Parts: sequence; C-alpha cells; structure tokens
Amino acid sequence: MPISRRVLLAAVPAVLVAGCAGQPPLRVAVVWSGEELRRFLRVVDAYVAAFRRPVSVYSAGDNISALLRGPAEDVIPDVAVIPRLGLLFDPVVRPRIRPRTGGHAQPEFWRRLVTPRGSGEELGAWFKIANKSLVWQRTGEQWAPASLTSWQPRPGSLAIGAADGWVLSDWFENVLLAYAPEVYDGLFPPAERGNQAWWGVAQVTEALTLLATIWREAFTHDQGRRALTMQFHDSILDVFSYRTADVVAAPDFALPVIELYGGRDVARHFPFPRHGDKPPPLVVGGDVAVAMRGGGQDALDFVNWLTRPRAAGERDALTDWVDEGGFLTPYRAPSHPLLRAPAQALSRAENRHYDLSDRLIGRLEGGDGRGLWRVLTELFTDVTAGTVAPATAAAAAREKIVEGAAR
Amino acid sequence: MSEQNAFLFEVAPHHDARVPVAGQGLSRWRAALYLLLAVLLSAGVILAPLLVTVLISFSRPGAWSDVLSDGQAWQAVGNTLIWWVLVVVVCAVGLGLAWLVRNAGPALGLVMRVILVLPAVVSPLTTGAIFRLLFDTSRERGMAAALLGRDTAFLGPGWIWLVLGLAFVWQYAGVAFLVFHEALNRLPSNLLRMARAFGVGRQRRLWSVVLPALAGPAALAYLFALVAAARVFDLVLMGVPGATQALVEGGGLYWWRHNDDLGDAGAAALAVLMSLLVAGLASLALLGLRGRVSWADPAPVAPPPAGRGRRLWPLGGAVAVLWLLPFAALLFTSLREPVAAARTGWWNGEPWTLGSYAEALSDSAFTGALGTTFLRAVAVVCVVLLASVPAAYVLAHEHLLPRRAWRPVLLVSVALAALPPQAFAVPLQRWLSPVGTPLALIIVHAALVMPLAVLVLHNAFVRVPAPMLARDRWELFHVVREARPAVVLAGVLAFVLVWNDAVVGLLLNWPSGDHLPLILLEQARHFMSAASPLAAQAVIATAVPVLVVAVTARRLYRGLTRGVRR
Repeated sequence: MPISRRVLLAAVPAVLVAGCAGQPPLRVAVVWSGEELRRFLRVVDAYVAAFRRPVSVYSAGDNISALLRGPAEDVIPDVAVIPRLGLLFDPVVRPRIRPRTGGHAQPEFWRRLVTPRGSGEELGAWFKIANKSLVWQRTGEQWAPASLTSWQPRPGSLAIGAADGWVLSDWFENVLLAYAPEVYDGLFPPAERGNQAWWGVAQVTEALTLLATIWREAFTHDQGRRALTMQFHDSILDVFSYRTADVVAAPDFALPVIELYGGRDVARHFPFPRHGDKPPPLVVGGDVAVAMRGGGQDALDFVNWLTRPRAAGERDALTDWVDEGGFLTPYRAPSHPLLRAPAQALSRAENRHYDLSDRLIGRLEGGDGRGLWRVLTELFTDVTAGTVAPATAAAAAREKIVEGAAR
Repeated sequence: MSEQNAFLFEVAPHHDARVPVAGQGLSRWRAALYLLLAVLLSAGVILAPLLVTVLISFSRPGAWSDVLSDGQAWQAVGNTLIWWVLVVVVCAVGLGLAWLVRNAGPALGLVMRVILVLPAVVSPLTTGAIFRLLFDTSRERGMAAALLGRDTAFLGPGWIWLVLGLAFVWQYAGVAFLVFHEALNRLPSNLLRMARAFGVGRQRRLWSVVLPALAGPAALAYLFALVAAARVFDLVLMGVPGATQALVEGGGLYWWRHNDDLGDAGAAALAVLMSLLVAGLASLALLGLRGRVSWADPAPVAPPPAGRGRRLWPLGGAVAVLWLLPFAALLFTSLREPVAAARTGWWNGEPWTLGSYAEALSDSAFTGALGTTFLRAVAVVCVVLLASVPAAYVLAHEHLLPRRAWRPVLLVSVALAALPPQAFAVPLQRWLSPVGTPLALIIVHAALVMPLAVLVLHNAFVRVPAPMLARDRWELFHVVREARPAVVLAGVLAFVLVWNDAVVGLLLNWPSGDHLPLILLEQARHFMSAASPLAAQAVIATAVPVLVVAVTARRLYRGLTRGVRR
C-alpha cells in the first residue's frame, strides 16, 4: 500500500511524542573503570529494578572536572560521584550543584567536609571513603619502622607506582601530616577559611626533604626510572606477585587487587609510620555523590538512595562490595579482618585529616602532568633517577608549590 | 606595433585551442552557491573562531608575555618540534622502503602496500596501547624487556621518545611508502633515458629529473604526517605513563591540561602560537605543491630484471613481520585470561579465552558507543561529501575562478587541514553548546575533514575531461561518476578520521561518553591490569575501519594514485 506524503508527515510528530513518553535515563558520571565500575553498575541495577527508572552510567575518568566545568550544559550529568572534594567548591561547579535535602544524617566529620563555610547546606553525600595511611607487606614479614626518621628502606625493597601522581601525593600527605600537622590544619582548618601562606613555612621544606630522603634511599637510579613507569597496580604486583619488592604504601582499596593477583591471606598491613612522638598520620579520602541542578528531584533522590545507611541485616550489591574489601562506607563495618581496624579509624580517630591534594583547586590541582602531581613527580625524578641532593630538590619543589598557590 | 612607425600594426595569429564552448556553464551566482556549504563550514567552524581566538589573546595585556616567559609552555612547544623531526623520519622511512622495493615486481609490491598501510587505519589510541604493551618495563610482560632479559624503563624519561618514534613510524610510514612507491613507478623514464644518452651525470639526473618528479608526492606525504603530528594527543594519553607525559606532550596536549591555569587570554595566545608554528611547518609542503599535485602518466612497466625481485623477498618478509608484530601482540593479549594477561606477556600462551570479547560485547556502554560512533561517522561522511564535491567541482572546472586562482585556495586548504583544533576550540564551545552535543560534534568533525576532502577531490576532478559539446546541467554527475575512486577515498578518509578521533570530543569539553575512543581511553587508568579487556575492545574498534578499507581497497588505491576510473 503506497503511503501518501500527508500520512508520512503526520506520522513524524507522533513518533517523536512516543519517543518522549518513556522516561529519559538518569545520567550518572563516575570516575571508575574496570572492576570497580562493574561493581558500581551492580549497585545501580537494584535502583533500576526498584524504581523502574533507567540509569546510564558514564565513566569520565580524570576528565570529570572538565565535564562538570564544561560549557555545554546538555552534557552535564544529573548525578556525579566525585573523588575530588575541591571540585565541589570550584567557582564554576558549585552553582551547578543542587544542595542536598532530605535523606539520612551524615557523621559530623564527613558532613562538615561537604558543607561550605558559613552555610548550612550540604553539597553532597559520601558514597565511599578510603583510608590512605596504610603500608602493605607479605604475611610472615614482621617489620615496621618505629619512626619516619628511622625508615631507611634497602634499595628495591619499596614499591612505588610513581607513574600515578596520586600515589606520590598520598606519600607527601602522609609525611607532611606526620611531620607537621599544624601546617595541614593551617591550610585546611575544619571550620574556617584556610590560608595558602602556610605553604611558605619552613616545615613544608623539611617534610619534603624527609620524603625525598626516604625515596632516595629506596631506589637506585635504574630502579627510580623504572618506578616512574609503574602504576599503582604494577607496584602491588611487584610485592605480591613477582615478589621483587617487600613493602608498598597503598590505601585500603588495594586489598581486592592484592587478592586477585596474589591470592588470599598473603597480605598484612601496618599504619603509616609516625614521626617521633607526634600522632601517627591518618589521611582519608573518598567519593562524594552530588546531584546537579539539571537532574531535578530525581537526582537528589538517587543520591540519597545510593548513599543511605544499610540496616543491620540488609544484603545487597553494596554490602557485598563492603564485605569483599576495597569499599568502605561510614555506616557499615567490613567483615574482612584486615579492614576492620582501618575502617574503625575512619569513623572514630581524632587524627583524621582529609586528603590535601583532593581539596586543591586552581593551579595546584592535581592531574597527569600538572599541579602538585607534577611537582612531586619532578621531586621523585630528581632524587631517584637524578643525582640532586634531597634538600636541594625539596627546596625547589616548595618554590614551585608556593608559586602555584600564589597565582 | 613596429618600431619605425607607430601606426603600422603587425598581425600576429592567435590560436584558440580551447574546447568550443556551446553552453555558458554555470552562472557566477550558481557557482557561488556550489561553494556555499564548504565556505560556511570552514568559515563558521574554523576561521571565525580562529579570529576570535586571536582577539581573545590580545584582550588581556601581558597574556602574550606570560606565555612567552612560561618555561613549561616552551618545553611543550619544543616537544612539538621533536614531533616534527619524527614527521621527517616518517617520510624518509617511507621513501627508503619504496626505493628498496621499487622494481620488486607486482606481487611483492602489493604485499608491501597492504601490510604497510594497515596501521594507518588504526586509531592513535590503539597504537599507544600496543606500544605500551610491547615496551612495558617488566620483563615478565614487556616483549622488548623480555628480549633484553632485564627490566628496562622504556617508558621512562629519555627512552620514551624511541617508543613514541617507533609507534609514529609504524603508524604513518605506510602512507608515505604508498605515495612514494607510486611516484617511483611513474618516473619519466624516457626523460631519464635521454639524459643518460646525452651523458648527463647521475647527480644532475637526480636533481633535475627525479627530485622534481618526487616533490609533489613528498609534499603530500609530509602534509599527512604533519597533520597527524600536530594533533598528537591520544597517542600520548594512552601510550605514556602519567608521570612521563609532561616530558613528551606537545603544545596541544599542554594546552588542554593547562587552559584553566593560563586564563582565557593566555590559553588563546598559546593556541595562536601553536597555529603559527604548525602553519609555518605546513607551508614547507607548498614548495612541493607548487604545481598541481598530479601524477605523470604511468610509464609502461618494464619487466624487472630477473632475480632481483626474488632477492628482495627476504627483505620484504622481514619488514612484513616487523609491521605485523604489533597487531599480533594486540590480538594475542586480547585472547588471554585477564589476570594472566596482567601478570605475564602474551608469549607465555595459556590460558586462551574469548572472555574479554564476551565482556566487551555485553557491556552496554561499549556496544552503545560502537553504534553511536558508527552513525556519527556516517553522518560526517555525508556532510563532508555534500560540502566538498560541489566545491571541488566548481574549483576544478573553472566555473568561478580561473586556474591560476587555485593557488591561494590550495594554500588556505593546506593551512586549514593542519591547524590544531586548540586554535578554535574555546569560541566553538561557547557557540555550539546550545546546538546540542550530537549535532555539534558532527559539524565540527565535518569542518575539520573537509579541506583534505577538497584537496583529494580537486585533484581527481581536474583529470576528468570536460564533455566536448556542452556544459550541461548534468556535468557534475558525469564528473563524479568518472572520479568515483576519489569520492570513495574522501569518504573513507572522513569515516576513519571520525571513527578514530579522541581529540575533538575531549578538546571541546564534551567528553560525551558515546564516542568509542573515549571509552577505550578510560582503561588507561590501570593500564596493565586492564590489558586484556582493553586489547579486546581495541581489536573490535580496529576491525571496523579495517573492514571498510578492505572492502574499498581497490578504489582507494586508484583514488590515491589516479583519482579517476579506468
């Protein structure tokens, strides 16, 4: 039967209307890839099943900041799970965030982190938190340095995935927090405005020197060059699969990676060494779920659903994730014996400090080849692959940080 | 006029040897309409934003001096020059290989052509992944380190340039080879024979006959590699560990990372600086393009001296093995069990599995991106052909401009083809964000590919003889029918460039998750532990353009070498 032109033209708007009748999917941007992304998708599946609302998850990786700052409003997601706290307070991003209403109450320490100074509104809810002050080794090795100053690793015994800038910045944060907690508090105090002038104090140079000394001890020139090409996972393989190194400083989410490549019950960990009689450092990080303005109430509901505390006996994809390790939340203790203590520290310890580099915005903001990551990479290169004295390299690194903070 | 008497005229016969024109051809207005879409695309998407970028760079006094005094920015610009050296190396390798097999006979020539050109179809992102796998530091996983028998930091400072150089040569030397191979086959042999008979020395023959004959093709090969180098971006993002990226990134990548820090004016100044640099380097190609790029007619192929062709087979075999090895590495890695692939290199064999493929194809984000990217690429091909076919026809058949006016047009096309997208990204972002991402991406891609398409099509249309009797209204269709291979070439070029692009999506700050290479790029977060799934996705992503090229191979070759049927 031939279709007349009129019928055809009449059909076009009908099709369009029919297409709009189905709900558009909720767009969620995350930074994970691989196994973590698959896990997250399983958590989201429960939402789709319960609320009959399609969800499309997109992994933006390190480009999430570009995505949220971008000029094209139509690609800004409805919900974002952000690993960098600083982004919430970015002058471009903050107006695009819909402050959180309803849902559960968050623990005070975590609530304060997502609340802008002088305002009562929370910008987001914590989905995943991490303990970044752990050092891992194989079981059977009973060795832990008493103090940072006495930590002089044999060349090759320490694995560092120096290709990933965040690994180096975690090292720096731990050493700085152990050596000079007052600097840390001065830069980002819990309640009032921080002061970037703290970068200029002498303790920063001293902490950097201490860090550079440990790094220089741990590598020959060749090993230093190799460490620069290794990522976080590669450094874990070195300790638990190839066994070419003995210790690796890594957050709690290293555990599933260790079990995947090394097997079960092969690892133990000890807290990152303290400095003298100061309290041991405890650097924490995490991912915040935020609803963006374009997402409407649905986005907020999704954030509250995603981050809600699970009841004691409840089981779902998220609790499985917590139980198998590699995922901590403020509301549930992990069942893995290795993770109980680190998880407890996250919710109780007095010496908790949020990851410094994740709070920086502007010229110091981290990323491959830029900001604090680049400064620390150059420091690492100078003292391990190069022959610069730790004190000289540390002074140069501090200069760069001060210059970046000033502009 | 004679010299003695100004009133005596001399009669000089003037021969008009042109085709008798019966019809008048297109009126000026009609002809201008033919150019409209192409001009709109180039002007709207490239030239106008470029102009705005220049204005922005002067909007803040001191922006230029800030950029010019920024050590890191200069390091990035210096790296761009190293990439330019690699461009020259690519051309040299192509020429060398073509010279070696110049009279190896048709069989070996065909084998070499196919194998060497294949990598050009692979996305730079995949190339980066392959070479990062081959040159991994650990001797357990990296093939090069395994051959040496010790862990070597190939991807660290210093060595990394060797790896990138090899990757770049592997990817683009084939195109240079193809162009030179054809040019050497068509050397004006009569002229050479004559010169020899008259006792012209070898050096003089090289200078006065061979070089001019190779200049055009060399310019083409150079331009193509330069465009690739000017947009080097994804190769570094995927192939270089994060800590080393700052050491090798060119100006384009530096701009992308730091445009927030530099401020609007500073970023614009850097983009203008980059454009000037690239335009300067691209203008070298004009030396070779002085005439029109066209081929001398093929000389009758003299049978190669017996034995010589056979002597070349081992050499051809060695080159083929070298060029196929990266493909093999990628394929074998994709077939291994993911945990084993993260721990050991592919030569350890077992356990083989198709698991990574199953996983990729069950991942809705990946399959969705496959579909969207395909549709996007097809849409771009349509827009590009719609814009460039009429434009090239009007230019080639002198409807609007006489032949001599082609030079400035050529110059503009070459400059546009080589411009780094950073030069116009910022204004574009602001203008196109209301259009909506899908449409905006298609428009931008089409505008970027179009100058190349016009160059290719113009080349072919010029060779189509105009019909003797009349320029009737169907002439355009006649020309397109005759120059079908060139149209196919332009279309495939557009398809492959869009399919493989990771730069435009990232640069325009629309990392819309539906473009395939961006999905692959995500795996670089944990490169070695994602080796097998990444390899599987890369194989699937590579299969599509390889298939397209395989199906159209014969026409592509004709399009590249002659441009017209028969």
